[in-house]
Amino acid sequence: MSAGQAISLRELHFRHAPPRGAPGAATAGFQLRLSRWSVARGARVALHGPSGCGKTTLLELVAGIHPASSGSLVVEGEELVGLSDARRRAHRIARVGFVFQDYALVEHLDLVQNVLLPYRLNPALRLDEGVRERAVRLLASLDLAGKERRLPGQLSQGERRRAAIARALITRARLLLADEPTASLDPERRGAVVELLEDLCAEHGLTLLLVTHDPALLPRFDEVLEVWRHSSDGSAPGGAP
Amino acid sequence: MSTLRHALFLAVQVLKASPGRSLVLVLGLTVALFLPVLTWLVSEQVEQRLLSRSRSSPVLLGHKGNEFDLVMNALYFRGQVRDPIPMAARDEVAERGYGRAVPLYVAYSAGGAPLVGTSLDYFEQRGLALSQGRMPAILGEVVAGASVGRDFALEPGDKLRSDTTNLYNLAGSYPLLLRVTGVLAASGTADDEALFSDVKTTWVLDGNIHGHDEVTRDDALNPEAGEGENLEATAAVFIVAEIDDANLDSFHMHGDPGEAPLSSVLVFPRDQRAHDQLLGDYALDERYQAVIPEQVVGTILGIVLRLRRGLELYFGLVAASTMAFFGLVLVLSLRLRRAELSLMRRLGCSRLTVAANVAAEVGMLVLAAVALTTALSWGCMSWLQVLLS
Repeated sequence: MSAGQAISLRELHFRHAPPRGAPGAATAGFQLRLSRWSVARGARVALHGPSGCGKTTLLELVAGIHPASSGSLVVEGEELVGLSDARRRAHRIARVGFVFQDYALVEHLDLVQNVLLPYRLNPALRLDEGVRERAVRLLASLDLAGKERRLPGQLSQGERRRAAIARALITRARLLLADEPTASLDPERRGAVVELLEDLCAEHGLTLLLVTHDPALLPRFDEVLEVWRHSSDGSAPGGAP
Repeated sequence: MSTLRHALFLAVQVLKASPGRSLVLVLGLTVALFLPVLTWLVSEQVEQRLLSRSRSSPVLLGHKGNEFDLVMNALYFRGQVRDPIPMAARDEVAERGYGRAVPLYVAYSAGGAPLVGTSLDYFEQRGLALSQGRMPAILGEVVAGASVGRDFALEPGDKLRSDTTNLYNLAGSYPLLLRVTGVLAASGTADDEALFSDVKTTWVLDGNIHGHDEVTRDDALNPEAGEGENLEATAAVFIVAEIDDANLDSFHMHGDPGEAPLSSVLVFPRDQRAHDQLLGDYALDERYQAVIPEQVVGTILGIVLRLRRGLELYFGLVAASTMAFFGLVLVLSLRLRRAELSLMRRLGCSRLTVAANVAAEVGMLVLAAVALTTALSWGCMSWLQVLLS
């Protein structure tokens, strides 16, 4: 992996065990295979492909949420394959900001507390006044000024999305992973969301990995990884640039 | 430390978000904790009260019959003794040298408080001290227990009328105006709730001792009675209703003072030998019985303990079902919050920290229930103290 690479993977294999007792459990496990792929630091990359092909799984592998079964996956200089759960969590906390598909805001916490949640959950992160001020500034920069004390249920979908982005940015991660942040939006708004993420990545010097179904958005990215649906016996490749 | 602080912060937010659910859980837990705790506390308190009082009353001499009535009357001034014993019985115990024999006559009341006729030995044996005034010295004088003194705002010099025992029995006892000479310091026992006088004062209420105008031939039923014959008084003769210095000397007793009634005699044997001898001597007596109040109270406590075990079992089942309900609500709640818990993990939170967050929520609910239980128990016990004293 060269010094300029944010992500580098080789012969990466992930197999997700099916739920126990599920019909066809012996053969229905989800698999993802990627032969070789790398992402340069600061690049804006789109992951594109049909539903269920493993786009989200790939993001979660990069974030260290799931452990890869075999191969090599180096993210910001750290080899994730074979890493313990604790080390993968440490990697996640230190290097990854994640905008989840459903925004995953905690409904009983106000916006500021949602943004500060990574600090409340991870002893490795120290929550001080500076972080609180940064959270407020982040929200303000995302047009959420004056709504810091509102609960997620009191916000529009767009505001919830921006709050989720603020939470992904609060830890000053170097890698921003966004799982379908444009889903259920009209084309005009999709463009605006991607533009916002691009601007933020440029401002903070982040590498962006964004999952999308929308082919119209792909030309905006430096690189597009097409992820294909994969059969359970591993007969087809998982994806290619 | 910061993990705990953050866990508590998040727990408070969760509990605040569903105040109804939190309240129901806290109240449910409180009920589950409070009922068995209260049962235990109350029975302990009752047991202690009953035992300490009975332990300080070594032997009780009374008429043969119901020993429960005898003990309740002598120790707690409750109820009446059906068959009194004569004063001579007390004198007999004293003369035989068993120890100190304190007469007790509990048959009347004043202002609803039992009036205990006794001797000065009673105060000494019970360790009762005055908070104000002096002990009763002559007929018609009483000293008030601490609670009675407080409730009636009594001070030395105040007067209190004894209660009428039977309004329609004109030949029965007449109310007597009693003079308060002092108020006892609180002892936390039944003594706080009573009035004490010399036993002779209670005999005045009985009519065994009385004072009245001199019966002349004009007021007599048998004005033609010869010299040396007693004149029989009519209802026109004035019966003294208040004893004072002027009429004190007119009080007298017809008959043998040894025949005057007592409810019981409280005996404080001088040593173990005298104690055993006393019990032995009266074991075969056909008129009187000598009982050990601690044993009698122990029998009552046996009933209380059986009741307590039953209640403990019952409330234990209530607690178990409430805990099961609590667990069910908790599990359902966690299922509903599966996405939130999964988010914690996805944000880099360890399983241990997730568990700590959930434990903090449960801990706060339990802590609130324990605090509420403590407050309720304290309140109930304070009320019980008042009730028992």
